[in-house]
Amino acid sequence: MAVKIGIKYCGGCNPAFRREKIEEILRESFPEAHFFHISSGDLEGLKKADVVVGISGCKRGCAVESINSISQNFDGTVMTVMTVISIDEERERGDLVAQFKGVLEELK
Amino acid sequence: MMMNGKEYIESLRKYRPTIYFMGRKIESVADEPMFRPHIHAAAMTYELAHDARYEDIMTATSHLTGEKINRFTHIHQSVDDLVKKVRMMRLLGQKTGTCFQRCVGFDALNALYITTYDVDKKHGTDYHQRFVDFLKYVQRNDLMCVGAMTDVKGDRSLRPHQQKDPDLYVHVVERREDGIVVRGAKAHQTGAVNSHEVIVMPTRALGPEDKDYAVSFAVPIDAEGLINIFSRQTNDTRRLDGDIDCGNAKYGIVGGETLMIFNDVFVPWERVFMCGEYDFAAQLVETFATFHRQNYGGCKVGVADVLIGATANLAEYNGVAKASHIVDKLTEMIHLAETCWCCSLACSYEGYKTPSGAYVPNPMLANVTKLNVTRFPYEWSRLAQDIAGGFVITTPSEKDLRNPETRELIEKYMKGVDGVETEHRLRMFRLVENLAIGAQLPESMHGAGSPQAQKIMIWRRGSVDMKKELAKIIAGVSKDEHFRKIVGKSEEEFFKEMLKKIKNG
Ligand SMILES: Cc1cc2nc3c(=O)[nH]c(=O)nc-3n(C[C@H](O)[C@H](O)[C@H](O)COP(=O)(O)OP(=O)(O)OC[C@H]3O[C@@H](n4cnc5c(N)ncnc54)[C@H](O)[C@@H]3O)c2cc1C
Ligand code: SF4
Repeated sequence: MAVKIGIKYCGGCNPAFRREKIEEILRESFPEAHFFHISSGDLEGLKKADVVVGISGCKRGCAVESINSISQNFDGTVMTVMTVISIDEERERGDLVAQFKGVLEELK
Repeated sequence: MMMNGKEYIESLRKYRPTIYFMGRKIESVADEPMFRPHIHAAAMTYELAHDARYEDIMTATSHLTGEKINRFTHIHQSVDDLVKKVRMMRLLGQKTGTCFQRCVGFDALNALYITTYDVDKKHGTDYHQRFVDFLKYVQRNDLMCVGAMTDVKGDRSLRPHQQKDPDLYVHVVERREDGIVVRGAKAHQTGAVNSHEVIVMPTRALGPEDKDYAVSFAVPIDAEGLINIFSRQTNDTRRLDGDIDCGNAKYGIVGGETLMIFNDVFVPWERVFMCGEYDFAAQLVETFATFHRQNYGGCKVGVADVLIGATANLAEYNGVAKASHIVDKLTEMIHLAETCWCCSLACSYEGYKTPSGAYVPNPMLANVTKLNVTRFPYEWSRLAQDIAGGFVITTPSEKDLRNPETRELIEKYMKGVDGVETEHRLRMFRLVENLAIGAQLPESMHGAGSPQAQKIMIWRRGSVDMKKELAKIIAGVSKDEHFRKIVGKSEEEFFKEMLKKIKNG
């Protein structure tokens, strides 16, 4: 069955890079996975995901806070949260893909 | 063990640092009248930690030992810690009306905690553990550390290894089995004479040829070969004349800086936190600078609070407090100070966690904070000078006030409104002179880096490419996906249809 990947964006007030790029890279690199967006307070969405990717526009990492605020109401199902909080021009696309592969391996 | 103010002053007696001032070798730091005001200001950082009214921001719980410690030895574990740090700065500025000196070492501790962790990850070294051991020692003994970054730098256009004299930046001159030997000098070392330890860091980004300059370490203030030459300040010897003329006799002005010379100082390996990793010099400098620039909308605003109070008092003593332009000018001073405060709070609230687990303020906003502090204090000081009047620099001396031959004349002719003692008016003039004319201003300019250093960081982190793209979207040069969704068609189609409709009436 396709691995389900929930994407949670930070609010994007003043991002230092184009956040959508992360989603584009992941979608291109893992075409067999099922991607969907988790909205704020969306506990059902969070429960559905095998992996949650938090995409923040700067090192403040608000996406992580947002995920944590949803999952505080969440008991039971174990999930893997991959928090991408420092990606910017300096980080290679390859690093991101390798990091994500690692998360998928762990999941198995 | 957390010391109180008195215990801190006593603790200085255990050290035997080599210090020179005005052609003399100083025998006892704790008893030197020229140093005492600075010592009192630093002692406030100890004293308030024992006061129930302030301990909430003055103390923290060590993440290493779980013990209650003075916040000045803490590693920030959350955004709340970053916010409490600047609250503490403002409080201490208000209580001392000057620089209380302990933040430079505090910032060095935090910058090194973060950077040694990252260096080890890349190079497989064990600096972080060494540093943590040192940190525990600092926390356990509640020590005050110098944050020694600024090298004397010689010819500013040359890199360290290009200088004619290689010692103009601190560098390693010998590597031994048991440690390293360092030589060079650091300038403007705040609080050095009354600190227990010195933490040294490089002052700039370094390349492979500057490897020996990529050095960070800690030594006690009385390490062999370490020499401090205490700097002169404007009007400094007024503090030997009584308690009025220097304006802030109890706590002084600025931090009390030294020229610190490392005359072949030996550092054992367990006290070395960087040695040759030039690729991390820039990170260490930038992390330290971020922490230190965060402070300036705290400490300087606390000092501004005192200046605003002193100026408002003088307006009252002079009988102009109700004049509308005076109220307006005081309001402007408050506005400028609170703007700097907003910056310090903002960069703290926007702080984040680093891989080491420690938190750092938002670097862009920390640099904006400091850049504002290179400007706004000049304006609030100008307003204070305006309101205070010319006596701010022409008041008779305390000695003439005490002289029976001139006392009555001064009492009579220096009087302001009825009901206020002349001496109080004189004291207030002197305080404004201290706060709005003295060394506080160049300290705001250069402390934590000259304005250009902040401009460089702001430009680098300004995401100008992102901003260019925003403009392209608004100007219709790049596609606007949200506009398309709002109007249900492309921009071209939308405007074509709109013009058609207008044309057809
Ligand atoms: C009161 C006070 C307390 C301080 N406390 C401490 C402390 O505790 N610890 C510490 O480490 N430091 C401390 N500093 C040092 C402070 O960080 C420096 O003063 C600051 O970085 C400027 O360095 P400088 O004084 O050598 O001036 P300079 O570097 O000589 O700067 C003078 C001017 O030259 C410009 N300039 C310098 N280099 C270049 C270059 N290569 N190219 C172009 N322009 C250049 C600067 O932008 C500036 O406009 C303190 C400073 C003051 C004034
Ligand atoms: S200038 Fe401010 S931040 Fe710097 S040491 Fe003094 S009080 Fe601390």
